[in-house]
Order: sequence, then C-alpha cells, then structure tokens
Amino acid sequence: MPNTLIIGYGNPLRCDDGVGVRAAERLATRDEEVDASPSPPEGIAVIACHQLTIELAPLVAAVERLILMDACAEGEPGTLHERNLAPAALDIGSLSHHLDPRGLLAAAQILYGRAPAAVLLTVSGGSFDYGEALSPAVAAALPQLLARIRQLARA
Amino acid sequence: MDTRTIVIDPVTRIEGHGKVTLFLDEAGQVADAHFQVTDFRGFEKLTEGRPFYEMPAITARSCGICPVSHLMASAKACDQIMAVRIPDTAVKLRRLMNLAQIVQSHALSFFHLSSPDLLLGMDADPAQRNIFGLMQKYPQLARDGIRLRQFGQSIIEWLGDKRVHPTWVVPGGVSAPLQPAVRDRIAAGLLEAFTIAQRTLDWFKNNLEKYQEEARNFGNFPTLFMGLVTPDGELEHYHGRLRFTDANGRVIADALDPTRYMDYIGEAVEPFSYLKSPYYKPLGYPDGIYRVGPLARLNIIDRCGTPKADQEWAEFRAVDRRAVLSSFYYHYARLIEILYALERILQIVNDPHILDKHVRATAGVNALEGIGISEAPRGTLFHHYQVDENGLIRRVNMIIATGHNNLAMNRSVLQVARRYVRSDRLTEGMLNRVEAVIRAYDPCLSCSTHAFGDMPLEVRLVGPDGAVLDAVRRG
Repeated sequence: MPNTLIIGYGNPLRCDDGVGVRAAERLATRDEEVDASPSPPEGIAVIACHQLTIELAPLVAAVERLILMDACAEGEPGTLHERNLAPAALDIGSLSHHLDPRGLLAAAQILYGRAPAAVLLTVSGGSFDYGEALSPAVAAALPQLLARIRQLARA
Repeated sequence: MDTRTIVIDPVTRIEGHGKVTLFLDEAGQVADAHFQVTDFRGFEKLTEGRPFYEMPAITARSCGICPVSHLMASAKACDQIMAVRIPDTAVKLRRLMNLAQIVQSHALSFFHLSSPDLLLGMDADPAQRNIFGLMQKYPQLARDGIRLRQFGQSIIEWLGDKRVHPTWVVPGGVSAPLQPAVRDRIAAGLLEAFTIAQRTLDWFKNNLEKYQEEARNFGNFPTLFMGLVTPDGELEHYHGRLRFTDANGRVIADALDPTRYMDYIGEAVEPFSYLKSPYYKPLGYPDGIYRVGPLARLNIIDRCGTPKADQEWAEFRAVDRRAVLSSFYYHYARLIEILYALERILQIVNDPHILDKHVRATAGVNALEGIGISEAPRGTLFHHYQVDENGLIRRVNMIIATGHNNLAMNRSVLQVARRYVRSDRLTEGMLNRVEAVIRAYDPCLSCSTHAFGDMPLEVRLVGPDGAVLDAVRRG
C-alpha cells in the first residue's frame, strides 16, 4: 500500500495545461533523457489524469500524503508555486463530474473518514492554446518541478 | 407581442454547456421555452479527408464521458466499409465494453448528477444541493455511486488499457483478446456491483411516492419512443433493429433497418441551437417528436431478457397503463439498465469462448459507405460515413443521442416553466426544477460542444426593450 499519492492533472492537448500530466508521466515512466533519477520508489503511487474526479477519493483517503501537480494561469510563465491544502467542500458547479483539489480532500474526509496532508504544486503557464508541446518557459521548469516532487516525496 | 425573456445560462450538472431562455407573455405567463446549445464542435466537418480507420479514435474524442459509445458506432460503420463479419468473440467483447460504459455513465448520472436533486429537495439552497451536500447526508449512497462507477470504468480500463479513450475497439473487431486475469477480475467485482444496484433500486422504489409532483410535471406528455431491440423484442444496446412505439405503447414501426435511417428520421435545424432536432418522418416536424435513451428503451421492448431486470421491468411498466411517459422516470429506467448490464456482463464473462484469440478481421475498402448504430447510455447513436476508393472520408453524419431528445427536452422545459414560473422574478425552486428536468435526460452536450472553462450560472430576465429586469448569478 503506497503512503504517498502523486496526481498530475490537466489537459495535455492544451499546451501548458498538460504540465501536471507530463510530470506525472515522467515520474511513472523514467525518461533518462530528461531526468536521470529513478522511477517512483516503493510506497509512492503516481496517477496522470485530465481532471480530479470523485473516484479518486478512496485512493486519496488511503494514503498519508497527497501531492498534486497542475498548471495555473497566474504568474510569470514557468514559475513554480507551492501551497498546502486543507479539505473544503467547494462545488465547482458547471461541470460537477470533476472536483476542486480541496473538494477532493473533502470527499475523502466525508466519505472515508480521513484526508491526508496535501500539497499543490502549480506551474504558471504561458500558452493554453491547442497543441501538445509545452512552451519553452514551462518546459524549462519541468526538471525543477520533478526535483521538488521527489524532495517532498522523500521527506 | 409584448414578451419578456428569462435566460438561464448555463445549466449546471450536465455534460457540457446549455442555456435556457423562457419567453413570458404580457400576463407574465411562460409562452415558450428554448433549451439551447450554443457551442459548436464540427467533428463532422473536421474529419473529412481522414482515412476511415482513424474514425473510431477521432470521433471518440467528441466526449470524455461517452467515448466508448462513439467507438462502438464508429467501429461498426468501419466494419461496413470493410464489408467484413467480425469474429463472434469480438462482438461479445465489444458488447462487454459497451455494457461497462452503460454502468459507469448511468452511475455518474444517477448518483452524482441527479441524486442531489432527488435527495436534498428541489427547494434546497444550491450551496447545499450538490455532491457535497449529498455526501454529508447520504454517505453510503455516495460511496455506492463511486464503487459502481469505478467498476464500470475499471472494466473499460482493463479491456482497453485506458479509462477514457481506449483504442482497443478497432475496425474489424478488437485489437487484443481478453486475458484470463481480466475476466477473473471482472467476475470478482460483480457481486458487490449487483448488491449496490439492487440496494439503490429498492431505495428508489420505496421513495417513488415522494416524487409524484415531479413525475406529473417533468416532461410528462405523449411522444413516440425509439431504440434498438433484438429480433425477439428484447433490450439491446449493440446491434439489432430499430423499433418505434407510440404513447399508448403500440409498436408503430418495427424491424427497421438502421442503415436506412434517412428514410424515417428527418433532421430539422432551429436557428437558436447548434443541436439539430430529429423527428420521425412519417409524422412530420414537429409532430414526429420522439424520445430515446433508458426510458425509451424500456418502453419499446417486450422484455429485457435477463431474470433480475425482467422482474424490475414488470414493476416499472406498471407505473403507467400504456407507455411510461414522464421523463422523471429516466432515473428509474437507468437503475434497471444498470442491473441488466451487470447480468449481461456476468453472462459474457462466463461464455466458454470469451477467451478465444481470434478477435479481429482485416480487409481494405470494400464499400464506399458505412453506417454504424448502437445504443449509447443516452440513446441511439448513428455514425454514417462515405469514403472514396482510397478509404478517405468524404462525408460524415453523426446523430447523437442527446440530439434525438432535443425536441422533448425543449417541451419538458416548457412544461416545467409553465408549472413553476409565475412572475417576472426568478426563484431558486423554479430554477432548480428547470435544471433538474434537463438533467433527467442526462444530456451530453459535450458531444457537440467544447465545454471549456467554468462559466457561472447566470439567469437573466430581459424586458421587451432589452433591459435586464432581474438577474441571478451562481458559481
């Protein structure tokens, strides 16, 4: 049973919006050209997905620590942001088959009795246009994001 | 005419975005209603020139909720272009994935999108009447919903190696045979899934009395119903012939060849929506209004064909002497279809030939036209392709389930608005009911929209001079 769950989410068809998914894929399948570190050690599970959905709640409730990776629209492209998250029952409204990260924690808390310590890492995106490539600033920030995730996961 | 307009924009908890406009007359009564789809995707146009065998993978991207349904219809259209009979085991495996799709999609619709309306009450504050309010008050039901949806999604993922856009369904069959370990995992999950499905059905039936008001006013009017049936008149989601029945439950057209759909289905275009309005041609537009999806499927059949579902179906049909007309009962029908799908999944995993290795036929372009049809969770789905001699797409027509229900959804919104809108002010209870009746159809506007971004719910009341008289904003 893993004690840390890492979830990278976003839309990889909208350029930088996919940075979380790209990072999760790198963590799950070691890519030596980009990063020589080993793929996730024991006790760490990695999920790449488009959106946070309620089906993740039981998985989230089962771990000690949750690390989320996403893109954000604010800030200078390529800037890494980090913040701790607490559960909050926020209804997203217009498309409720996905959840806000704090909503995912709330779902774990309400339905399964516990929510893990959680941190959200975001990278400021430069382009959210149609396309599969990360913009240069975000691509350059990817190793920094991966290094921080590994640091957090080892802590 | 002096009219005023109320706009509900967008409708929440449906797949994609929609907008409702209510037209008031001088007396402040609702004169007309439009349920509008204002986004445009254009899959039919952008696929022109692509090789036909790419179509399942491309058209599945129409939607993140029902990609499997598009895979089925698309692959079947491609089978026709190749003019092949696909291996029997491949048919069973496609059916297996399609049934899993029904389970996961119906579970999402019932447990996560519609049950807050049913359990927390139509007049509840929207801040509470959502998935979190539901979790707080009914945690067991919310957990059941998660488990059931997970089961359906897991089957899709195990078969196709991906949960959302699997590439396992291909022209000519499926790309890989079923692994014994996957079969065993599916079989192992069935007991819990059956328990949840039956528990939820029992709960729903025990509470039906509470919803008599909704049942009377939520899209309760005569229409035709359409869907696929087996040659024996049983419930069918993958193949079969089309049947139309009327509001009295009488079969008015049977054993129709789905590939000749243009002979009996017309498509009208309204200027206010990108969603076309299909109708039954012999009755004309708009009298040829018909409904598809779970309610329609349970109205057109002679029986389901599996023991547990047949028992439930007999009770369901006793709701009305003739056809079950109220769209409120889409919820009920969805629960019965989940039970049915689980029974069929059990039959398929126990089939002695299900692990056969021959699961794909190969061929080139042997016909210049292919029409694939299947029952998606929301109703009958058509993919119609024309190709040139090199197999490049020349023309595409897709009729999606939500499109078939377009006329009925409009009429349902009008019925609810007439019942609950009484002035030029908007109340939460009124808005909730208008949204809830749309959700009863579980419309998948993603299939025709891009659904990008999070727009808040904005409701506007506009006077004849264009001035905003009242505005409500959510989100």
